[in-house]
Amino acid sequence: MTSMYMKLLMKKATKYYWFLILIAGILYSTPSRAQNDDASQVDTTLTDNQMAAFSQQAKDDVIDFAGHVKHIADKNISTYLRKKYINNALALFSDPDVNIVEVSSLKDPSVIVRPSIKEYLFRLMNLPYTKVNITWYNFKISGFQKGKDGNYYATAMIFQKFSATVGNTEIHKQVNNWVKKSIQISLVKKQSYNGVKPADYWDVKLGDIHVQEATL
Amino acid sequence: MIKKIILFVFFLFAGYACIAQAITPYDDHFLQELAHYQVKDLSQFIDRFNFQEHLSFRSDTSPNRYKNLISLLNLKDTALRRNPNAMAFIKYVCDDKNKVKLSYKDKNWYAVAHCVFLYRNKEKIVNIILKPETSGNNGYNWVIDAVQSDLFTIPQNAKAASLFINPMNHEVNFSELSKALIKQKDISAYTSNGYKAEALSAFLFYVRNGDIQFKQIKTVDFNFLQVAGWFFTVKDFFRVDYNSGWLIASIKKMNEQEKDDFKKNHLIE
Repeated sequence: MTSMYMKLLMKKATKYYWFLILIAGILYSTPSRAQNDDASQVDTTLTDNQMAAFSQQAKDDVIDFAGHVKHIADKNISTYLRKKYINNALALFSDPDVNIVEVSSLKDPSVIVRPSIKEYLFRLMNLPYTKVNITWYNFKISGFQKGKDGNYYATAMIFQKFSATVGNTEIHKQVNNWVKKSIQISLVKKQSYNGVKPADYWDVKLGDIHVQEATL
Repeated sequence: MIKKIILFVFFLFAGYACIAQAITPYDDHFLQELAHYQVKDLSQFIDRFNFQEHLSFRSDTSPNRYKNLISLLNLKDTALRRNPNAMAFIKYVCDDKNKVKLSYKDKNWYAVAHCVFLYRNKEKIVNIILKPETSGNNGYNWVIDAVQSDLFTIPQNAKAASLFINPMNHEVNFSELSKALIKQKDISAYTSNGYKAEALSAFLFYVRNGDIQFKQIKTVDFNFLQVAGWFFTVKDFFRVDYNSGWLIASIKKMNEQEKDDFKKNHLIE
């Protein structure tokens, strides 16, 4: 009698097995979700380890950007590929249509122009040089500083020698510039929804760029 | 001792430049070194000032704060190099007893953005003074503290004493006020004795109304007042030289009273 009762119980338990797992899952996830939401409202201070990891990520992004710029300016690469590099470079920025590059005008160095990153990269691709060579010399990233909005901000500096040839081999002009690019970096707290619960994450993005040039 | 250090660093920089240029002007090695020595941004200036970043020279294996600080002076400026205050300042900073460290969250430092605006088709310089302001979440942001420009200062009129609205003019619908407003030029003479023109409000109003149009920020420099007894300015000397980037442009001895006066006259309204 007892064994029959046990068999019946086991049969019912098997039938509702998935239902029980679902209930257990909901009970388990509810407190952690509340804790997560509380954390997002109260504490946004990053630990030193997190900060170091994000600095490394920012460094990688700037190095990637520098590599893309070199390829975009390279006349030996097809236009199709260079457009691909532009897209890859733009993906590193928080808003490529709004982020600007502040650079002195080639016609009049006392005038500063501010094209968007997108415009700047397309202009770089179409520069009227027959040969362009960009060499990177040094790279430095500042520590992240917390802003009023709770996000973190840093600046990266990158040095390059820009040399270009205008015209053909017989009549040509050599341009040699020492260029410093200061790139704003932001570490923004965002939220994604993975289908079960919202999760906070930090996103590293590049921002405005300031370019200084000196003739070599 | 200090003079020896100056000479050492000075010749170190000069020597490197000569060697590099003798081989081939601006070769890769020279540019690599240039990028290493140049003070690339203000955060690097602060790191080197605080001796958190040890600047090491090729033939020198013993970095110290004196050498770091000397490399932070604009050595191209002969007057600054010969200024006895410069060495006294460095000595003061290097004395561990004084515990001199710069921090972004210090209250007593200001940035000055030298801006170009267009006013009635003429270029006008407006210096916008910014200061860091801490927020509740332990973060900070830059805020506009004041502006300086001849656009917002009212010229003094020698005849100001004779310009006033007579005590019974209210009986005739303030006819003298009407005349002053039509004449425009001397309107400030009719204000109370305690009136002080507030440039920042005027500037914000001009910008909002589109009466002045922003063109560009020409340069930015920083005024540091947080070191007890001292004031110094930092500017960006972007040039092809080892001694370049964000460097100390001027150093002055300043007590707390003088600092307050300086802030009143140059930095705050």
